[in-house]
Amino acid sequence: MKKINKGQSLLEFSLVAPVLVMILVVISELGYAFVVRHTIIDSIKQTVQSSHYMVGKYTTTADLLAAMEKDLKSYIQNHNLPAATKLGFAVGSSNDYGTAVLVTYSYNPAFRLIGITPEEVTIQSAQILPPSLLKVNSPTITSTPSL
Amino acid sequence: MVAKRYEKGVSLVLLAFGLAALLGFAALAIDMGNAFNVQNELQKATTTAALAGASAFNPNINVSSSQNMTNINNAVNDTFNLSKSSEASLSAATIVGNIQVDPKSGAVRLQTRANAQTFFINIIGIKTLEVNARAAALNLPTSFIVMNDLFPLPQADQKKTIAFNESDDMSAPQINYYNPPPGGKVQIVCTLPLVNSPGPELTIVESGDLDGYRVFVASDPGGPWYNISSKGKSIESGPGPQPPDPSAPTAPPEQWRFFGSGAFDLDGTGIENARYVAVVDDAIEDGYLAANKAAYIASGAYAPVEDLTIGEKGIAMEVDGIIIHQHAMSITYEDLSKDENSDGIIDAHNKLIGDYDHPGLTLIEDTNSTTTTTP
Repeated sequence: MKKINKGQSLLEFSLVAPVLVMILVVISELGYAFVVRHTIIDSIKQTVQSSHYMVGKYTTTADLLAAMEKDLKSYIQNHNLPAATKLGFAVGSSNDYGTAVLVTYSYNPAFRLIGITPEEVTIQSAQILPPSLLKVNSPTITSTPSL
Repeated sequence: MVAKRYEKGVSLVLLAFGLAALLGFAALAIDMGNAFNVQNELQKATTTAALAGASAFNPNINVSSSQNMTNINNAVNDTFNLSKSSEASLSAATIVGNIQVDPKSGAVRLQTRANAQTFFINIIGIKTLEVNARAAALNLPTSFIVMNDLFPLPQADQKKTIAFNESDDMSAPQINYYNPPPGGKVQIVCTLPLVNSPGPELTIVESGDLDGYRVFVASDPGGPWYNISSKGKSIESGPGPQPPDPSAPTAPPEQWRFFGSGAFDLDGTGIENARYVAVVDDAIEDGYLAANKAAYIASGAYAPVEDLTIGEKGIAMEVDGIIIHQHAMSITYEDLSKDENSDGIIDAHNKLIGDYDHPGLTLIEDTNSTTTTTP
């Protein structure tokens, strides 16, 4: 081996390594994003869809939504997702048979390649609920205090 | 090893080939991962649509009537379209073929399809990956005070049983109902709440003579209670909802009563959901005559039991069942066509209600109309 060739593999590898690592990091981050998205899709299905136990407990829609959001947060926490940088919980469009409840979850990826991977990943999912589950009673008929 | 001149740059060549393989596998992993995500989203939308469809089934009207089919189709389509408009990856999703409905149990099934966008294999010309989902749901009428465990059967078959039981002198089933004292009540807490939706949310089956009662709902057992009797519709021949004085139909809803079996709808009451239901005998009619009947009718108040005298028949209302509608449960897609004992009711529904051929009860055709006594 001539002196001049010494360390050439190392040099070549040092050129290749960053590209390789970048690709692996992007793949691993994308893979993780899929796992997070799967969990978010399930989170809103599991918590919002079974929220009928809350019926009658709250007197304003805001309180009801806050309680649902709390359930959702606890689900996310229990499933070991990274802490959300933003967690949006909102009521979307509606028709006779359903109202959409939307969750928007943002987190910071573990690795960040400036210009290649985003600083913040945002994932959104929706669950349709019967419209009346999200409403509170405002009776138009006179009540009977007790039976 | 001595690297020769022509071996220089071999790492780059290796990288080029390695990268191609690496990107190939990355493409597979990422595009497949995305397709699985879209499939998961589609499955959620499909299951929700099936549940909404099965919830919309109303067992009180002719099971295969066009009204039922229209309601189910609307519920499935509206719910699925809302999922599509709320979720970008489903914007081009479609329902494949017809929405299938089992007319007896109100079970619904459907298949859906969506296209997941690709990122990497786009390069080789595969722009989308097709994903499919299917789901089925069964109408789940939650019933209470069901001495007669044939509920929740389709109404046509409930009638058969009632006809059988009414062949006795009392014109009422002898074992399968709850008969409170005059002015007495049945009060229940619903494990699945009443949720206002298109169609009725509550059915009360009252057998025998058409007895008068008031139906109340509440969010809290301590009250306030709301009388929804005026929102009922008779599901058999009978006067249905009545004001205290039939000649003055403008009486406020809290004074109204209901006669016979009825389906109740929360529409127009401002009550969106409720967890407690009470059925209170009106203590005026039904064979009992209040001593001061005219005054009670005029005031809309309930007659205390002390003011009652025993009338001809001597019975108050008989509650056979209180059924909460607008709920559904998921079943498997294949369940909709499984009927091992060939009784016309799918096995998934049999699991809910027990075997159809219940010992001691023979279903006969309802050849005689039910006994009606105009109050």
